[in-house]
Amino acid sequence: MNTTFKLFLLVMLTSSVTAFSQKDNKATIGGLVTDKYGKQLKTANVKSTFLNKDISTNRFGIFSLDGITNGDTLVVTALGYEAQEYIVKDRNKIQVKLSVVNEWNKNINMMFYSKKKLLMTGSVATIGEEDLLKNPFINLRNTVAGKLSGLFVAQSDAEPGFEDPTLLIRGTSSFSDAGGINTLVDGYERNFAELEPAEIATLNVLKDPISNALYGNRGGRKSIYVTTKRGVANQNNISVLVQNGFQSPIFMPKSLRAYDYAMLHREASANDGVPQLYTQAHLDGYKSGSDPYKYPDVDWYGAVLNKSAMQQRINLTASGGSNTARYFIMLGTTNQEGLFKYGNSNPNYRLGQSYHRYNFRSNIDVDIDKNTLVQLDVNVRLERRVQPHTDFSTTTLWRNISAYPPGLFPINNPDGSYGGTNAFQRNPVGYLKSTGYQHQDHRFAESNARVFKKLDFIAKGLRANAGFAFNTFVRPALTQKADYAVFTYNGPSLPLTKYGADLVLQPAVTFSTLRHSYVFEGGVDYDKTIAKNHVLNIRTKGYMVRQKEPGTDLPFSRRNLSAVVSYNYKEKYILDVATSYSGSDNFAEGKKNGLFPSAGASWILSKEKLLARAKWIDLLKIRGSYGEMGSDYFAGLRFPYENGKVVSGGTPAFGVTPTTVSGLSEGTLGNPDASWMIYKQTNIGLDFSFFKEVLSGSVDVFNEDVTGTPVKRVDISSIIGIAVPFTNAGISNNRGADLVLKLQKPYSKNWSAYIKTMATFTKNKIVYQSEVIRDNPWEVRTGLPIGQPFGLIAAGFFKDAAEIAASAKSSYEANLKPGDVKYVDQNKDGLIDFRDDVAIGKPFNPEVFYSAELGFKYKHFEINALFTGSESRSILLHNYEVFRSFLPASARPTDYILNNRWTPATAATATMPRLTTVANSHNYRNSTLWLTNGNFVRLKSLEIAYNLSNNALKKLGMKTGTIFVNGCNLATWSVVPEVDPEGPSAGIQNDYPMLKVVNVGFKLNL
Amino acid sequence: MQKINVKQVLLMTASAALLLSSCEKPFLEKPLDDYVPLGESFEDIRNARNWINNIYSDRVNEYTLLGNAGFSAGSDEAIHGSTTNTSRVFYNGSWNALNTPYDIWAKSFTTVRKINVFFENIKNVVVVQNEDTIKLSDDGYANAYYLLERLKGEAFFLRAYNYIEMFKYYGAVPIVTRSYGATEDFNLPRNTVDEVVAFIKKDLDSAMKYLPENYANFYGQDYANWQGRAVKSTCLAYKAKAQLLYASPLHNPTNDLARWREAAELYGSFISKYAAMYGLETQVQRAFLDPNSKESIFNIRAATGLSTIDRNQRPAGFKFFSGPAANPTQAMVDAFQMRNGRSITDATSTYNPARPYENRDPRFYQFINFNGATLSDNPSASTWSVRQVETFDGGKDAQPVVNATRTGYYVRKFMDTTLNLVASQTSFRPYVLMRYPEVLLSYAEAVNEAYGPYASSTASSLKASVAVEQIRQRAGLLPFALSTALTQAQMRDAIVQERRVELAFENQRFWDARRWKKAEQWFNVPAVGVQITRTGTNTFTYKYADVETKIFNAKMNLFPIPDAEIRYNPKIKQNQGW
Repeated sequence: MNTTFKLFLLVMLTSSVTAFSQKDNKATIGGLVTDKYGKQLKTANVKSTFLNKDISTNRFGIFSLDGITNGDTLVVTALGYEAQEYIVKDRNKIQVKLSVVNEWNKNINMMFYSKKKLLMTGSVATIGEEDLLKNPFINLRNTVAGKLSGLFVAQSDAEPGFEDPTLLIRGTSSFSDAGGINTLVDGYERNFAELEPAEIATLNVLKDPISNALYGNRGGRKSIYVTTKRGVANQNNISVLVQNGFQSPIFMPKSLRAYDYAMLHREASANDGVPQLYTQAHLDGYKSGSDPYKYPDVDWYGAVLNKSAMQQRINLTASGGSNTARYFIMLGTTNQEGLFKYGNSNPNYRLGQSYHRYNFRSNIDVDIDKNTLVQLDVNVRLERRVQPHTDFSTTTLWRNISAYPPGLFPINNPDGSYGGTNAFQRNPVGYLKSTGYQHQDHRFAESNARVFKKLDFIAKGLRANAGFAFNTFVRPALTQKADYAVFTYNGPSLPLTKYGADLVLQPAVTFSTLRHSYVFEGGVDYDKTIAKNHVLNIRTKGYMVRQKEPGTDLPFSRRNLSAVVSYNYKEKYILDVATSYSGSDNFAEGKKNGLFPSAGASWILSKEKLLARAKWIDLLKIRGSYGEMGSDYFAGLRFPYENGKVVSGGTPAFGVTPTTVSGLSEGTLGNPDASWMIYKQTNIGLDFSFFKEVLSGSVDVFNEDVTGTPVKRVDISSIIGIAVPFTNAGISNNRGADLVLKLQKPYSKNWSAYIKTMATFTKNKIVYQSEVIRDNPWEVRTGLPIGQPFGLIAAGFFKDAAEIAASAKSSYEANLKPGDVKYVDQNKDGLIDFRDDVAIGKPFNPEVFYSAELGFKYKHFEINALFTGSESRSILLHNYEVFRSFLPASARPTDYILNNRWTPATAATATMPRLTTVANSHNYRNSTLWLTNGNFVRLKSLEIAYNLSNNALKKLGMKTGTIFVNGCNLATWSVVPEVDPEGPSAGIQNDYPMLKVVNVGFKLNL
Repeated sequence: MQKINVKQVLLMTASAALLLSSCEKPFLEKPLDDYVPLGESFEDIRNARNWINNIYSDRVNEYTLLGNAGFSAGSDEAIHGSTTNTSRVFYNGSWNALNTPYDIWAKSFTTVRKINVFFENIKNVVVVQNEDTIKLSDDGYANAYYLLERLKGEAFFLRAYNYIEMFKYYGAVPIVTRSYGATEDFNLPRNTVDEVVAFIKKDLDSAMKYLPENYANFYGQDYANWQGRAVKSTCLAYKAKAQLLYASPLHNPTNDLARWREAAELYGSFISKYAAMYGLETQVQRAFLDPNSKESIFNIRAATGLSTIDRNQRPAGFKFFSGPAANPTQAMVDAFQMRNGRSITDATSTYNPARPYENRDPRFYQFINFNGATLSDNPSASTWSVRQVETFDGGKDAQPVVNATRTGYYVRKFMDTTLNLVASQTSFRPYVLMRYPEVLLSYAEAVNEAYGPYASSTASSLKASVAVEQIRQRAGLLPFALSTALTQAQMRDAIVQERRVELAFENQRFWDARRWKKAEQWFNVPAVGVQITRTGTNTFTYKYADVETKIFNAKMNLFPIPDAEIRYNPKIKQNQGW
């Protein structure tokens, strides 16, 4: 007999005694609810069928209910566990053991309908609360990276408030709507990036036609479907998440210091035959360091960046309620400081860059009567994004920080003024401190109300629902501008030379942007079981959306009527048939509406007699779906059917005293046949689970044929005198596979472990796109992947003038020099030009991406790690300023250039061309010289957690408690030099750096 | 149950009502009827008028092309101050159908389409007979009928103008007289030179029917706001220009004298008919600074004051320099005669190679900024005072000063030297497309070819020689008269010489050399610059050196038709040699 049961008996005894002392006849009967390992379950709901009464268990898993008799059936439910019907045999010894809810019995939310995972015919990747709370990034899109099969997330930088990672589901299938993904929160098109992980119940990636079936003319783009949390009756819960982190930049270039910089600059100038900017005096000055004003050695990164910056997140949630009314409330605050110094240097406003967010959500469910449920959801987000004044872009700031020379002027002159020269008037320290500020306040209010009504009085199993949503976004911004002059130091006791002008802080200016949308929706559902084994579920949905975007005069309108009919026989043979009739205001009368059919089928093999005997097979299922879905995205154009529009423009001046007159001309030609794109998608999948879920996983293969992509013919005569309109003529194909494999040792008394790997393989190609006529077969783009880079084939560097004279001329540079790149003259016409470009390498977005999640739990300790990786992609290094020598606006060279540049002495080993200070489009263009394998593996996140013991929890009055340390972007393995392989421009040109973040924090449930 | 149903019915009715009230129009219909089809928009004559206005702004301002050097760097007049300027493609051997420094092919057909669309829709204009004066905000009060006349005339003129430009660039081109839909076959072949010239002349004749002589008196009213638009004389001048091009050696291999005669008569009738309207200014600069100058036949006007040219053309050491632009060659400088009207190569010219800039044609001092020329500068703070241009070695405006001249000279011709740039002054300058001296010189050329050097045309009694002398006289040459015993060939040379100097940097030489088929001879020589060494306060020595080699092939007399057109339209034949 274990201690739990002893405790149980003790409590039983006490309560019985008490009960007897009060009323002796009506016995208060108690019981214990545990999991299958004997762990007591708190807040489990126990309902007596005879009494039609329910009660929840206390913190020891014990319930007590008056009047339970033998033979009664108790229905026991608990969050995360399978419901169980328990028939009371001995009312004095009730112990109900619940088993963890089976993965396959969980409901999966798809586009406007949900289904038990077992019965799904399509392909959906899903994650829940536990995965989202593991190591959350500030931006939710980064949080889900690597956790969902088929979803690719590439972080490009980590700019506070402006992170914009690339999201792709199963690669790129269309070259017109590349990266177009529907994102829906609770069934409405909304942003999910700024939601807090604590408010999300599940986040699903809908990858195939049947799961997107009801989205009709938008379904082809595939979707991310977020469901927020709701209260559960009698499951009162308060949770707290607090974390504090340190962000520090990774992959920051280690720029050369003044002396080396000047040496290389002199070499570059000599190569170009231009006058030297750096003299021997400079070199001597840098070496001796005697005059830090005339010959400074500035570390610009160090001058403006802190080594690390703080970030905080606090989430508080409260949920629960009764059988008649339930609630989920969340309050969240997130604070991401920027890396810049001087953020708090003025008491009245913040400078630099930072991001502050407050999230509030309230999801309320009320059962008005036993047939009517009303839901009211409100989500409000307030964000403050701090940036430099609108006239001073962060783009310029980052460029200057990475590009300004170390040795030409100091940060500050002896008198404290900002250093600078005529050519360098944007001293980065001044830029941060003396240009004013911009505070953007993003305010989101998203609300919706829904009514669910059981219509059993008409027909049993008939239900109806209706809803309305209203979303608004306002972005007021407050700005104040200032400006500063820089001064060149001319020597002690000599006057400084001034460039630019000081401008004191100007009066505040505000401006704002608006966006809003509303949705009406409704549906009728019908469930019917015929002859016990034939189950029919019908879901219908209709909705109307009107959305007004900032900067557009007219709102976007869409309307959709759709239905899915699901049938299954003994949960063994499953069939789904769906269709959507949806319309968009973007097309002409008669072309607005279309029918988008899809169907899916599944066969659960493991339920067949033959396999059911094999005990080691838990589940074996094959499924397939096909659909013709759409995307109404038409090259970004509004009302493309309108032909012969007039536009104003061209305003010449006439008159004795010339004055301007207005002009009018023909707008773009319309295409009355303009229509949506058609995505013919096929998905075939296999799910399996063996050895009591020790080994499980799934394999999906897919094919997408996208037709009707808007393309503009480019191979036409100019004689028509106007651009021809887009027609739905483009064709592309995308195919590939998703794999998920999970190996786990289930939780036993002390330890558990798992490893889950996911991989997606994609291969796309352009079948028709209207391409200009090319002279040579190797120049042709059609037939190759979307985003295929083209470039020259490099064949080393020119040794000397003789070699240059003997080689093909360059159309990009008349005077080639030794150390310039020698290219292969593909068509042997003696001239290197665009005709010599061939397909080189792979597109930037990977064709293969994968991840591996590892978890290990021993007693109270838990460790989780997530690795993500990309394969089959290329990076062209010359696009990144740190590789661009001394070209105008390039970043300061690093050791990489120092060690790899071409000089007559290093000609044999050099991998970079000769140094130069003037624009050079011969060396710095797409070629195999710059082509680098972009594959990488990253330790995306790692978390070490300690779960508090029962005793500790008891003392603290908590249900669960966890203390953790976690980190993001902790390590990266790749062959890409100098820059971050995932976001190569981060930190060196226009972009904020990539960050490594280490958090400490705790999670509690009260 | 019964009660609840009533409530539900009420609720559902209310929400249905809400739904309906929010969409008076069908939900997927565009909520705003802002789409006015093109044809319908022409019902309002103001839209038709704005349509024509827009076409005027398609005229190319050749002066600001190619790094503000226009086509002068593509000829023997100048090179570009920047070694990376695209105009180098004209002469560095890399010019081909894919790589053209400037091209008007696609752009011209856009303009032609606009005009054809105008002709197709102008019938839609609703002119209310009883209400013959309507308020037109840009034009003051105007009789709609008169406005309609003007618009039609302008449309014909602009189409012809556009075709003359295309003829200049490409020779014969396809004649397009309607607008095509996207799915129609618009792969037209090139017409013949004869057809193109006939088409241009026909359009100009039609334009003359509709256009008035002058907007100062159009149906008895002064439309001062319309000045600068085409009138009858503009049409006549351009008709003569088209004919001159047609008669020139490039398009007239058999030297059909009838073509020269027609050109001579067209120019002659312009000169005799419009003697009161056009003439020579006392100061040549007026033509470039005054939009209403009597020298200006057609120009692009600006509604705002400008100082762009003044800044671009400044020598590099001067404050407010924003160049580089064209750097005149030594050949251009040497083309200026001595003040006595004799070429510097003439033994009797009194030219002194040790003091090359003395006693030259007064236009030299107006057109060229040379070492020792004077110009206002801004040496400190707010002063605005004159200093000498220094292009001698070590001078303030010489290499290695950034963007300093590569030849030793800068252009001065279009500068408004009276502007005070410190005070941000600007001038209302037009860009001149055709001015009276061009007419005089073209007249002289046509008469010389058709009738001889001292003859005149039937339409005008002006002798060819006198037409040239009028320009020399205005320039200030002393004596200005030409020799009275020149052969036809010698007179031809005199006209070429005068044209080269008077119209320098006006994007004429580039085209003249082509139509005379002389470019291969003139443009195929290296550009020469001067190296000046200062030997004393005001004493210098001069050395001449090649600055840049220049290549010109016979095929370049016409521009290549863009590669894409040849690929996509199989009916178009490329110009010879490209």
